[in-house]
Parts: sequence; C-alpha cells; structure tokens
Amino acid sequence: MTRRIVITGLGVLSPIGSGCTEFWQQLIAGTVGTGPIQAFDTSIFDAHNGGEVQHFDPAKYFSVLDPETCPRTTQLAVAAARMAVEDAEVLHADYALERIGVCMGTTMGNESVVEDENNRRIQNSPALPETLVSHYVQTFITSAIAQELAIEGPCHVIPTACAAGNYAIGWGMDMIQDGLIDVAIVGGADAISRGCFAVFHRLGAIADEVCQPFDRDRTGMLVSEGAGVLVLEDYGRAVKRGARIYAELLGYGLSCDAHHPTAPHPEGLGAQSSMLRALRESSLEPEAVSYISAHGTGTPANDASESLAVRKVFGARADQLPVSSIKSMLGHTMGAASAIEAVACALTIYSGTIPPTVNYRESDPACLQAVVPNHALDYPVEVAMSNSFAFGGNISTIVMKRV
Amino acid sequence: MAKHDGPIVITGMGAVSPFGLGVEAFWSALKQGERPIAALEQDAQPVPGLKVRGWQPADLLGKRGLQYLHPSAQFLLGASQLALQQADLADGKTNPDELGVTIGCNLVGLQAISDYDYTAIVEGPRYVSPMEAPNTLANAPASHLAIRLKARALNTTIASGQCAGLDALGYAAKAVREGRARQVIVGGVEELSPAVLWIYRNSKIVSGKHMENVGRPFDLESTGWLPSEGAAVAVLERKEDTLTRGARPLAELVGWSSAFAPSQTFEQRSRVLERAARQALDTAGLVPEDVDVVIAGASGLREQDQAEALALHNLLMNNPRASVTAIKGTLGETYGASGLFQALAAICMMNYGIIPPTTERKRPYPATLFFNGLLTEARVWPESRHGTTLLLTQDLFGSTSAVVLRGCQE
Amino acid sequence: MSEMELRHELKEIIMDIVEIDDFNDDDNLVTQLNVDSMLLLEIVARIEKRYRIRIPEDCFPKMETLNAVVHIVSGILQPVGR
Repeated sequence: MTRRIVITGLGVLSPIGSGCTEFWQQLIAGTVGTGPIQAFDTSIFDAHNGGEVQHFDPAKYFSVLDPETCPRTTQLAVAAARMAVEDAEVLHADYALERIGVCMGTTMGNESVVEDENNRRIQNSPALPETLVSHYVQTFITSAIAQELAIEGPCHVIPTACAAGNYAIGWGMDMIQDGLIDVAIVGGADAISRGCFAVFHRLGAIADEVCQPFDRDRTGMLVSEGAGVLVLEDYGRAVKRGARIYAELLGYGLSCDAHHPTAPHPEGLGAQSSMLRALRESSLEPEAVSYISAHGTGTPANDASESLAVRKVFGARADQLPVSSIKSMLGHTMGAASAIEAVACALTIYSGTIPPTVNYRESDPACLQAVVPNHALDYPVEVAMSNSFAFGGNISTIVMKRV
Repeated sequence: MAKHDGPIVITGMGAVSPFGLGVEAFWSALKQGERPIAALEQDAQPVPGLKVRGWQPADLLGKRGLQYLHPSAQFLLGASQLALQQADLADGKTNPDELGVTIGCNLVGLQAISDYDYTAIVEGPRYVSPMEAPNTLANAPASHLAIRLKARALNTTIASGQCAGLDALGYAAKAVREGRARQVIVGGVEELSPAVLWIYRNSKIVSGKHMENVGRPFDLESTGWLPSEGAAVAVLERKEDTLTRGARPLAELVGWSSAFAPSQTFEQRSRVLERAARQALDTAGLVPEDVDVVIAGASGLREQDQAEALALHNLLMNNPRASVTAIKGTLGETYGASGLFQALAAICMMNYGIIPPTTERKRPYPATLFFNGLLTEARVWPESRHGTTLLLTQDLFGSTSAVVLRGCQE
Repeated sequence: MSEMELRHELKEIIMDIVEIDDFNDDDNLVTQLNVDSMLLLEIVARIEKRYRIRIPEDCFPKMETLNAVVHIVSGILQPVGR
C-alpha cells in the first residue's frame, strides 16, 4: 500500500535569515543576502561576493556534542535539523526513535577542516585538534544529528553535489514507503568554502556582482552557504496527531546527463528526463504543475539549458508558468540549495505566495520569461516542482502539492 | 519502466584491489590469507597500509582521459568494466536510460580538494586546474563512470562511512524495484592518499606501532584498522532479464537494512547491529536460524569488533551450524568499498563452495563474550548454491547496516 | 625565448592536454581537435601557470588555432611598445 507522505516541519539557515519565519519574510520581500565575503580573504581572487549565514551561534543547538569539535557544515546541519523537529513537534509524538531516520545531502561536506589544516601548514601553527579532524568525514554530518536527537533509524549522507538535497528528500520518501521508518529528517547543508570558491572561480563561473538568473546580462553564480531540513511523515499519522501539514510530497525523479563532468547537457536532456520521471511517479501530467522552483544558478549555461528543458516538457505553457530562482537572493548554497528550495516550495504552497527572481532587469529570449521578476506574487499554488542539477550530471526533481 | 517485484540478482563482479586486477586475485588472496602490508608514510610517520598494485589502468581502460582521473576513479572504472563483461552487458549492450550507477565512497575527493585549496592560496587561484575541479567532490568516480558507460537512469553516491557499500546495494535494489533502472552498477571505492591517512591517524583508528598486529578481526592484540584501498563492483538487475538473455545469476539480493546507535557503548552498538541484521533478514522473510554464513565487518578495531561479537553471540545463539568469517584480516579496511568487497566474497563462497578462514588471532576474546562458528580454517560448503549469507558492518560514528544474499541454485 | 621555441612548447602543452600525437598549426582547436570549453580553459590555465602570465577572457574565443595561440601568448610575453 502506498503511503501518502507529508511535510510537517521545516528548518532553515540562510544568508537572508534563519528560522522559517524570518527566512520566509525576507524571501518574499526580495531581500538579497549576498555581498562581500567575510569568511576568508578574497583579495587573491578576481571575484569577491558570496552568501554567508549571519548571527549563527551553534551552541544554541547542541546539547550532546561539543559544537567546537564540529565543522561548520555539521553545525549548520544540526541547527536546521533541530529547528525542523521542533517545528514539527515530532519527537514528542508517539514515534519510536528507531523508526526515525536521517539523510542529508552535501557538496563540500566538512571542508572547513581541510582549509584550517592548509592555513595551519602555511602559518606553521600547532596541529588541529584530533577530534575535529576525525569529524571531517561526511557521515559525521548525519551522525551528529542522530546523536543530538537520539535517533536510531537509518542515517545516510548523499554527496551528490548541488542536487544533493533533493536526493535526500527522495531517500526519505523511499524509506517511509518501504516501511523501515515512520519519520524522515531530510535535507542538505554546506558551509561556505574557499576551496569551492576556488573551483568555481577557476571555471569562470562566478558573477561579477549579484546573481541574475534568466537575465540576458547574467554573469554567473555566487558561492554561498546554508542548511535546509524537512520533516516527512505518513499523512494519516500526521493528521491523527494534529500536526501542521505544509504540503504533500508526491514523487521524485532522478537522472544523469552522463555527458560532461561540469557542464550540463546543452539540450538539458537529463533535466527533461528528471522532470518527466518525477511527474510520472507523482501520477501527474505537466499541465498540473502551477509553479517551478528553478535550479537557476545565474550562469549562462545553466539557465539556457534549464529553460530549454522546461520548454520541452511544458510546451507552450512554459513561458506563462511561474518559474523563479531563489538563488537570486541566497546565492548557491551548494548541497543545501535544493533542500532550502524545498523548504521555500512548501512555504509557497502553504502561504499562496511565490518568491521572486530578483536582480532581474532584461529578459533573455533563450530563457524562460515568467520568472516572477523582482516582486513576490500572490498566487495559489496547487502543485510545485523543484529542480536541481549538479556537477557530475547528478539531477533530481521533486514534486509537492497542497493538502 | 514499470515497477518490478520479482527477484533481483547480481550477474557480474569486478574488483581492483591490493591483490591485483579482478575478483579472482581477491578471492585467491582471501583463501591464502596473506596481506602484503606496506609501510606508508604520512607526515614522516609510518602507517601500515595495503595499496593497489598489479594492474596497468591503461591496459584495461585505454590511455585516453586517464590523466584527468584520480586513482579512485580509475579503480572504479576498471572494476566496473570487468563486472559488465562478466554480466555480458559490456560494449553497448545496455540502454543508457535504463542503466544506473550507485557508488559507496567517502574520501575520494579529499586529496584533490586539499591540494586545490592549497595551490590556490599559495601559488594563486589561476594556477589550479579546471579539469581537476570535478575531482574535488565525492561524486567524481560515479560521474566519470556514468560518462564512460553512458548511464543516464540515475547516479547516486552514498557516503555513510563503513556502511556506504552495503547501503549502496540497498539503494540500488530499491531503484530496480521502483523501475528507475533496469540494471545498476553498484560499486564501492576508496583510495589511500596522504590526506586520507591523515584523517585515519587523527581518528585514532590506525597505529604505526606493532605493524604485524594491525587489522586482526576479533583479536584483543589488534592495534586498529589496516587501511586499504580499491574498488569492488557488482551488476544488479532483474532476474527475469537474465533468463531472457541467457546470463547467469551469481546471487540474489534479498534483504537490506540499516540503523543508528547514538550511544558509544558497545552493548548499545551490538543491540542496534543485531536489530539491523534481524530487519534485513525479515525483509527477506528469513530469521537468524536461516543464515549459513556470516561475513562479519570486523576490522580489528576493538570497540567495533567487540560490539559485533556480542551481536553475533545473540544472533547465532539458536544457530549452531552457522559459520562466521571476517575478510578484513586479509583485505584490510577499504572503508566505502568494504561492503561491496564483502558482497563479492559472499558470492564467491556461494559459487565455489568454500568459506575462507579469518586471520589467525593472537589473543581471542573470552568465550563468554563470543559467538560460535568463527572459522580458523577454510571450510568446504557443499550446499553453498542454496545458501544464505548475512553481511554486517558498522561505522565508527554509529551507523550499522546489513545485507542478505542467497545463492542462485542451478 | 625564440618564437620557434615558444611555438614548440605551446604545441606540447596542447598535445598533452588534448591527448593527441600531432596536429597542424592551423587546425581549428574546437571543430577539428574537439576541444570543448573546459579543455580550452585547461589549456589557458596551463599556459598561464607555465609562463606566469594572464590571458584576458576576451582572448579565449580568438584562440582558434595554434598559430593564434602563439600570437596571443607572445604578445603578452613581449608586448609591442607603443
């Protein structure tokens, strides 16, 4: 029997604000959270802007582990997970701890440890604490969450780069459907990373000033950080315990371009497959979709191939269907991106307001047109689709609907 | 593709290991029990390790593009090629939209990103290589593999520590059941770079002293992991497809489960490992008494081995005829690849009817804490093709996973 | 360094990155040698690293043949006085 799966809790930390309320307020106000990076010295690079989470005090979210021994990506992940379970009030419900699982996606993982070590080597300072180094491994991201929340179900990490959050969400759906767990705490996290910045900088992908998805004059993406977590549970049990339900997850699609290590397929073949598969798993036709949360990084290549793929799948509707990219406000939060975008989609459905694509000045005929430019749009969204495309050709799409 | 509720089988195996190229080299080594330990250097201190040797990547993969692949990607591509050949699915016999990839690995990108960041700040950001950029990520081997094979159904990397390999098997089986892929290349891979050894040293799981005592499963004299590297790959597909094309199924994947132990006590760990094992058996409609052979995850790290010993003591209490063997005494700890090496070992046992012994223990555990059935000599297994094997593993940080494989009787 | 030496070195760099044994100085890198944007970037990066120079982004589309690459790089190494 197929169980219906709903979203009952949300947690988010981002450059525009942390916690659902602040995040959502700033998102629909069109606040741009990117600017000059403080976390590391950008003077050696030709680009200087990015996104950083402000006012983050990890100690607030830890009661079992010492946050000082946890790299920043793990700190953000634990914080978002704690926010989400408190939002859902799910740990006080009647679920056995062994029936709760965790899965997080990430791009760079606990990369800050590597950068600390490189700094240490250059400055010839004392060795890093062993515990911190031992916490480098990516599995520690979810292990830390499970230890903090005393969870005993399966715990995974899926490092499928910039699509990772959607993969984690799909994993959670599968685990609940298979009856292994009743609650899934899923999402993605990435701290801002100098190494990551060096990668995108070398590829010439970083924007001059701001991120301008789908704009004719877009110059690239902006490296950012954050964490997003969703609590998923069975619909019947959520209703029974009086949980607030943000939205229902209908299905997800996966694909792989298998074309190039970093560039998307020029015709977006993998993106098309992913969207069609997600719709099929959701038993929906393209006509049913009311809104698309785009991957929309702001690079010339991504936005063009993404637009082509959406046009292929949605046909004539593609340029009337609202499509927005919140990366215009947050920058690209890497492994957290599709998780934060899922949080935003759930809030979009729940509140009936679509967040804008900001910094939009000139339309590009090669790109989608109905990008909800610069101002949020009051619009009842029945079905939302969220796309994510990553290095390595990792592609995933999720579909959710109003309950 | 429609969903699939029939049996899911493994039809091809491939490996690149410290014993050379191919599953045969690995299987021979398991039977002989010899481990070619090298003294590796990390920050001018010795660390024991097993490095991949005895193969020339260019011979199997061709020279083109090799310079842009790290060892982990080369291991994975090599092992995958062999697996596909055995499954009779090589040379374009697969449909790209039906072929998926699922890989367990953890530290494959570490050396690359460490060097990338260092070069950028010491020499300058213009002096890092664009082609090297994707290699800094954990999904690099899976990505290179998909490009080479033209595998477009799905591509997932799982990084659940020592459990990654077994978890990749569970994930891939789900993908086949849901009709997301018709065949999945399931692999595990890890490379022993200097940066990886740095992590292992700091994690206090390897010791440079008493090299001969490293990596001895279930041995109180063991001084920790024997770090190792390589790739192990299995081709997973629907059994009904093998009948259509006349391929031979090697084993059936009937169960997977996973759980987490928040506490660090070995009693709690053992309870959770036991639960994961029972759940995996249960999904296959089996109980612990149905198990013929356990391929333990024991690595020679005492905290982990103790927990597993207690779990096996409880699981096998009513199963006096079960045998247990721990392969990491010979293979070493291949981290993200270990679960797939366990699977290949199990498949060899079921097909060749021999169970290799565990590495000799210098100081066994007291009998009260231990389980029956640990093999100290090779044992012939006459009914192996009807057999049931249970694969167990734990991760340092609390995850535990289990997989159940059954022989495919002819 | 003479232009001949520079030409030889630049040709070696390109052959190494593109993994070919030889090519003509006027072969089109993109249409004839299958150099995609990332390989071109790799060529640029290696040249910049080798000679400690900076090739402006607007030069990239002009780097169509070995001849063009030699011309651009020698121009940067020894800028013609005004």
